[in-house]
Amino acid sequence: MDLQSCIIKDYPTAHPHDGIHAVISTLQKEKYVVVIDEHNTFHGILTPEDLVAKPHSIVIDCVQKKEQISIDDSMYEIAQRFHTQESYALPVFSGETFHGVLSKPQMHEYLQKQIVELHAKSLISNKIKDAFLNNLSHEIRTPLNGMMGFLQILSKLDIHDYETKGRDYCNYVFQSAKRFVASMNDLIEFSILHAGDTIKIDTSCFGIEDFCMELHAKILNAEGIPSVALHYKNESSDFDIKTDRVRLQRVLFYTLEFAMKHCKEKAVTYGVQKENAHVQFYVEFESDLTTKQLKEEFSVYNTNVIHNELTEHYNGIGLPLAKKYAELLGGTVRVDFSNTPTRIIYDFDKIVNILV
Amino acid sequence: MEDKNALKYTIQLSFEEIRLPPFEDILLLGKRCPQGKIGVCTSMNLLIPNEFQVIEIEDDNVEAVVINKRILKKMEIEKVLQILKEKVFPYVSDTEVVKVDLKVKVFYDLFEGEF
Repeated sequence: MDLQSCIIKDYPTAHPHDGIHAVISTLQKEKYVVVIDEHNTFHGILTPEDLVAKPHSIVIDCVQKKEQISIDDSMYEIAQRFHTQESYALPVFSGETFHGVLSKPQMHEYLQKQIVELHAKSLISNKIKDAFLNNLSHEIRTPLNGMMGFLQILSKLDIHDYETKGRDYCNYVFQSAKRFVASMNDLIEFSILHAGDTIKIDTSCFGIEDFCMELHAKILNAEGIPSVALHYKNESSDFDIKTDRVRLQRVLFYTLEFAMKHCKEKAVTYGVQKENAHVQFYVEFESDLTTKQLKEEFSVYNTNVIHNELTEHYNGIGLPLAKKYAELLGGTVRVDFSNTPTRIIYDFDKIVNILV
Repeated sequence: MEDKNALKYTIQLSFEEIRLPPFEDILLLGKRCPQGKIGVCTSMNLLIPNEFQVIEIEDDNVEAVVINKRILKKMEIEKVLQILKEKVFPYVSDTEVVKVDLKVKVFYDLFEGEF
């Protein structure tokens, strides 16, 4: 809500030479009258208090000079003016031009809404902090432990072992560090989204084939993911989409990561279908978990619960973050448990790049 | 037969010439009098344009003074206001409009010159 929306443009008026008796009923009802002549020149705002101080016969003789609000004034300055003037309404000027009227009740309402917004933002900040701290422990301990472990091994290697194995161990440390940085970025974004705040989307236009090939290479080279056959299906021809490429890739990456960790047949299939402006990404896998266990795992899609109290198993932020990103990009997620293999489906209605 | 209960009326009638505006010299306007300075000034200007000057006053009871410019030709405004403040204002209430007759007579005591 901004100040402009509070300014009253449809205000009661009186001519400067009108008799007071002609405006008294309007004054009683509206609590103010704007004095404007036939040339549209502003002469002031008449309030009942003016009549008490100057009980003359015609309007212009009763009007007392009042504080003026500038369109550029801050809310604090406006509140100060109302406090100084103690008037029901004050004129708003844009430079030298009379712009409209601001009344005290509207100013109070505007201030109240500002307070509520600021309070909500402060709550979001607290929630961000809480969500971040809650997830911090596991997400950083794991890669840090990996880094420390390998650094300890490196420190105990003799020259010969260092020459043969040192490079590999250094690479493991580097990969752990990379994972750590990626985890921290995801954790921060998840905390922000979980708290109800928004993050900026970087939209770009790209081909679906190129996108999926890049995703395919990333998931196969990622650390900590079991070696599983990964199949890609595009049931539509190559087409362009317009969305946040990085975040869409994270959606599918985390989903594929989960599928590859829990697939029974050591094979996961993912694909894309397009129908007019609707695009559907899916991940199919035959799971080693029971339907009940699967439902518990995917309960994060509904509750944003990270730590599953039923299984006492830490699920990580991958699936909840995938869901948050999908929603951020205007999509929805659902899981089809009824058939085998299990299918995780992401539907997007507004990402097909339509050339006009 | 004459009806002794018939309704009767009497009228008291008199008339005299007046001039507008109804004052010549000075008018004092109380802070809470029915006519404000702008209304009075506007009506004065409509009656006799450019004859009167309105001066706003810092006083507890008097809001403004309307002075005929002929007086100001003979005496400075500050002097006129000083006289009014000392001699008239103490007797004016804030709801009144007061007409003041102030005639200025100027005379020289003695003056010399050369032929």
